Formats: sequence, structure tokens, C-alpha cells
Amino acid sequence: MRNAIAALLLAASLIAATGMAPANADLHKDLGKNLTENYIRPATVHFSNAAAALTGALEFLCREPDSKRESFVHSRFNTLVNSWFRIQFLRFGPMVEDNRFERIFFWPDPRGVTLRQVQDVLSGYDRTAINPDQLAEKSVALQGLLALEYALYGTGAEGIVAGSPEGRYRCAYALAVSQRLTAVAAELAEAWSSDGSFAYQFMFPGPDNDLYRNDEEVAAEAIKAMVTGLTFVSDAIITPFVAKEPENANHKRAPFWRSGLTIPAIRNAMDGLHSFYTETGFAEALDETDTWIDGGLQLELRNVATSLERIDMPLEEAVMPGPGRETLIYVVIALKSLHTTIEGRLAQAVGVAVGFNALDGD
Amino acid sequence: MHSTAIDRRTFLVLAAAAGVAPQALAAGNSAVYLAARKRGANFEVAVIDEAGRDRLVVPLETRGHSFAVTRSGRRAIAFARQPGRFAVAFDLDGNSKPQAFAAAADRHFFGHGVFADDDRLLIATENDYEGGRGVTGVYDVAAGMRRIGEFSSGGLDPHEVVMLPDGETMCVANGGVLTHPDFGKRALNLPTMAPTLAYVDIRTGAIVETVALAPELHKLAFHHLAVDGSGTVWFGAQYHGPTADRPPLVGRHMRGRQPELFAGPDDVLRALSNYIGSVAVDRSGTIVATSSPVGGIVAYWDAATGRSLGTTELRDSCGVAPGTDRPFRVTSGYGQVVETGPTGETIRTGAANDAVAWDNHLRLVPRP
Repeated sequence: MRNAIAALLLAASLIAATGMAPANADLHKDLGKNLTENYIRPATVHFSNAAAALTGALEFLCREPDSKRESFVHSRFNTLVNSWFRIQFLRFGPMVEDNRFERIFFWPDPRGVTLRQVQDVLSGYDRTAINPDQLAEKSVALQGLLALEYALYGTGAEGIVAGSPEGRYRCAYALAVSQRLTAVAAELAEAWSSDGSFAYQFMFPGPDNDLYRNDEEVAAEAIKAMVTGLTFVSDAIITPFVAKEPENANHKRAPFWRSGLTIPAIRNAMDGLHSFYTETGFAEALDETDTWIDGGLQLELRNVATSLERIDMPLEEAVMPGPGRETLIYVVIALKSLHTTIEGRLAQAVGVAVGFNALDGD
Repeated sequence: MHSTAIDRRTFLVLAAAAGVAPQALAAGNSAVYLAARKRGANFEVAVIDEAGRDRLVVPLETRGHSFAVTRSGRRAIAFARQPGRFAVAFDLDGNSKPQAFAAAADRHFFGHGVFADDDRLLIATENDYEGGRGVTGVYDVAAGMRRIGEFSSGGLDPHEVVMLPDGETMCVANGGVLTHPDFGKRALNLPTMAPTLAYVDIRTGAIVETVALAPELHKLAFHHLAVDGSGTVWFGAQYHGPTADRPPLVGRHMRGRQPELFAGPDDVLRALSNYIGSVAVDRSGTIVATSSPVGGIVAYWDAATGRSLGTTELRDSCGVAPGTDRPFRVTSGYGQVVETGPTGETIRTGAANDAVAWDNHLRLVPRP
């Protein structure tokens, strides 16, 4: 009896000392497996397929340029960008190896590196820029979605359909970029496939697993990915072009303004995050007293999605004072609120709260 | 415009808190500690004594980071944390009103600085974010912290700066990360980041030695520094590559030699979680402590050999400074102030206060 009391006291003092309630073991059971099989794997495969499809469409266009083929390329590009935004928040493991995130999406780019470098490539004739293997050795800003967007939609892109020498070279560069993206996307899909060593580590945490020792470490990674993704959308994508003051708003500071894909990209980012959150199963595992957390998150996520649907005007107009701008500002506020709830209340409720210094240190 | 607005806000915060200083107890000649902290919803600097009691509290408009302290230990500068733009000069005994000053236009502080030239100059690590380069701002102390110039820091992202025992050379830890305050602390150049340690002659601003690691470690950002009893610079790094890489995070450098990295045992390296938040050397100058709030651990190293000596586990532990009863005093984001060392045994200093989150750094201020 005395031992039992001593054990209880010890347990109580351990909780007091760490400030952390013991995590419910069932809470995160199979979390990595569920996330991989139900969200990450299909989403990375979709991205990989979309890249391969664009490469096919570009080969077709470059061989015999015409406007029908160009429309087809544009529609494939659209699919690729949207599928990217459904996985951009998975910024751990394979996404950070070999600078894959930056190779795909070199953003934010406040110094305009992509524009400068791509214009430089397109202004002359650089054989090494149209060879995907040699392109891989160049600046990552030349290899990603934004470089490809400029080639397909930027000044001089009409040369592609016209079939001028500049246009043919430009198409060849676009094709090389698309081939690079296809290769990188395939590496990502491979890493998350059933043969992928990273997927295995994420799916099966354990004492012998060097990367994830237990389910809590997987849960912490999932929470961090969501929080990082939300901050990226609000701070790195929306805020810079909407700006605090309307006179500083500039739609050209948005990624994908040339192709008109900015708002669809944000919609897909949010939709992806929502689906990922659903697949964590945190909602079902919360204690009754914590179910309001899920209720609040669901409500806010739905409101953001509905609001984004309402932005149907051109981006140039959406940033000016009026309903578009108001909606974008609301979205930023809602994303910050989602961020705070996930990082604070949800993380605590699922037993993976992070300290003041660990959360945001220098 | 930007700087004036922030400056005015700092002054208002300080003015509103004028009642705090008179309550301060003169610390006399015993050593005190300095730390930034969050108390409730407020950010402040606390001067605490060896028993862990508040001696002086200076309010800040937002999160502080680290300090420059005069040789007499009577005055200090608290810096805003990155990408903050304010600094506050204050008297540790509370004898005069804290005095705030702002970073220059198009510069922000990184949170660290040192006094130089017999305390006549203040040097602060700063970001020239439009120019995309790291600098150290030079301030004339007698002229009320007037900024009289700047030196190149020898790299991007200059974080901690320490003065070498010669009093003429400073060592700057350049993390190598390009940032712009419009994007907070987000790294804008991960594929090409290039961290360095740079030694700068404070009389001329000349970079007299630059140290870089092997190219495959170009994402290992030097961030925090301490000088051991032999004058060797110890560094703690933060890794911006994949978690699985787990490079060594701690090392030392002696002028004119190659840098040495120390990984320690696998379990220690893993626990450090690719992130060192603070580096300190004990009073004897022979033990180095490196904290990782991410891993909730402080790891100790023998300054002579680089051998791993042990660890202390403490959740969200980050601030670390020479101790009074044990080799080190450590603070945490959960309000703990403890004394500990390589054995891992911990004694509490004062009562833990969970309304307080101790921020990144703890500084011992010896009082001659």
C-alpha cells in the first residue's frame, strides 16, 4: 500500500515537473500509417503524375506548337500547381532532403531571383539550360514551378505558339524544367511509397527507429507540419501581396499571378491541410472536454474555404479596397487563429505541447 | 518612419513602468544574472540575484533576447530578438531610468552585442536586409548610443558576438541564413546558405580570419558562442537540413587552426535535436554547456578534450550561465531556474514560477 502511494506521488511529481500529462497511448496509434496511406502517399503520387503529364503535354507542344496544345499545357500546369499546394506543407523528411522544396517552389523570393535568372536564361541561348541534367546543377530558382510559369505565361511566351526560334528555345527550357520537376516529384513519391525508407520510419515508430522513437514524435511532426503550412500560406504567400495598407498592395508580389492560379493555389493549400487534419484522427481521440477544439478548427477551416470561394475577381482587383481585400484579410486572421489553436490547444490536448523556447527559438 | 514608431512605443512602455525601478534592491557587489522573460502577457528583462530573486525588472515592448554588459557589471544593453528593432540601455542597480534606442533605418538587431574599447563602444549584430548582408553596428556609448558606423560581419545572419581576451578582436557567429523582416525569420537561401565564424579587429573593422566548415555542412548554422578559459571559441550550431542527418552541433575553434566538431554519444546527439539554443562556459573555464530546448536537454563538454561529460534533462531548457553552487545555472520556458552540471543532478534556485517563461539566454554578471 505504501509503495502504491509512493508510486502515485512520484507520478504526480513527474507530471508537475514536466508540466505534461501522460499521452493517451491510443491517441496516436497508427497515426503515421494512417497519414501516409490515406493522405501523403496518394497526394504525392498525384503530384508526381501531374508533373509527368505536363512533361508529356510540353513535348507535344514543343514538337508542333499550336494554341490548342498550348491550352492543354496550361491546363496541365494548373493541375500541377494545385496538386503541389496540397502537399507543400509536408516540409519534413523527403521534402527537405536535397533542397526539394526549394527546387519545386523557390518562395518567398523578395529579391526577385527567379525572374532575374529566368529572364537571363531566356535572353540568350544556353544549351545547358535546356538539358535537364545540366539544369539540375544550376540555381534551384531556375528549376521550379515559378520558373516554368514565367516561361509559359511571362513576357514573350506568345513566341512558343508562334514557333519563332526564341519561342522554340523557350519551349525547350520549359520542357527541361518540367522534366526536372517530374524527376523531383518522382523522388518524393518514391520516398513515401510502400518501398520508401522514410515512409517506413514515419509509419512505424519504435525504439529502434532512429527518426521517430514513438507515436508522440510522429504526432509532433504532424502538428508542426500543419502549423508551418498555415504560417507559410498567411505570412509568405498572402500577406506580402495584400500588404497591411491598401496603397502597398501589389498583386504582382503573389506567386502565380501570371497564370491566375494564386487564389486556386491557396484554396488547395487549405483544402489539403484540412484533409490532412481529418486523417490525423485527433478529432475522434480528444477527451470530451476538448472536443470544442475540433469544433472550432472545423468551423474556421470551413469559413476559410467558403470565403476563398467568393474571391472570383481578378487578383489585381481582389487586393484593392473592397470585398476581395476584406476576404483576404479575414483569411489571414483566420489562419493565425488556426495556427494558435493547433500549436497551443490541440498540441496540448494530444500531449505534444512544445515549450516557449523550443517553439520559436533563435 | 518605421523606427520612430517602434521607438516611441518603447519609450511609452518604459514610461508606463517607471514605478518598477524604485522597488529594485541595490545588488551591491554580489553577482547577478540577467535574462529576458515573458511574464503573463508581458515581456521584460529581469535582473535576478544568486538566490533567484528579482532585483530589477525592465519592461520591453516585445520579446527580448540577449545582452551586452559593461566590464564593471553596472550597465547593460538588452536587445530585441530577431527581427526586432529596439534596444534598451539600463543600470543594473536601477539608479537611472532605462533608455531605449532603435536600430538604424533598414537594419534590425539579431539580439546580441558586446561592449568594446573599455566600454566606450557598443557593437551589435544587425541585418542589412535590403542589402542582403550581415553587419555589426558600432555605437558611441558616451554620445547616448549614437550609431557611428558599421562593419561587415563577414557573412549573413550574424547572431552572437563575443570579445576575445585580447579585448581587440571579436568573433561573430554568422548563421549564413538570408532573412528579410517582411518574412520574419524564414530562411530565403537554404540551398546556398554559407555559415562562417568571422574574427574582426574592432579597431579597424578588418576581418582577420574567417572559418567555414566542409561544404556538406553548409546548412549547419553557427549561432551561439562562448570563450573558454584558454581563449578558445566554442560554438553551438543549428542544423537547417533534414532531421535524419544529425551532424555534430558543438565545436571549438582556436585562431589559425581548423575548427573541431564534437558529436558526443549518439543518444546525446539525438537528444540535442539538431538545435543548440545557448552556449556557456563555467567559472573555472573548463566545462562547456550547450542547451537544446527542443530536446529538453543541456549537454556538457570538457573544454580541454571535447569529450562529452554528461547531460541534464530539463524541459524547454535554454538559458545557461555559470552557476553559483553548481557549474551551471539553467532556466526554462516553464519558469524553472536550476543549478546543475555534468552529473545531471539538479537543485532548484528559488521557487519555480510557471507564470514566467524564461527566454533564450541567461547571463552571469560578475561584480568586481
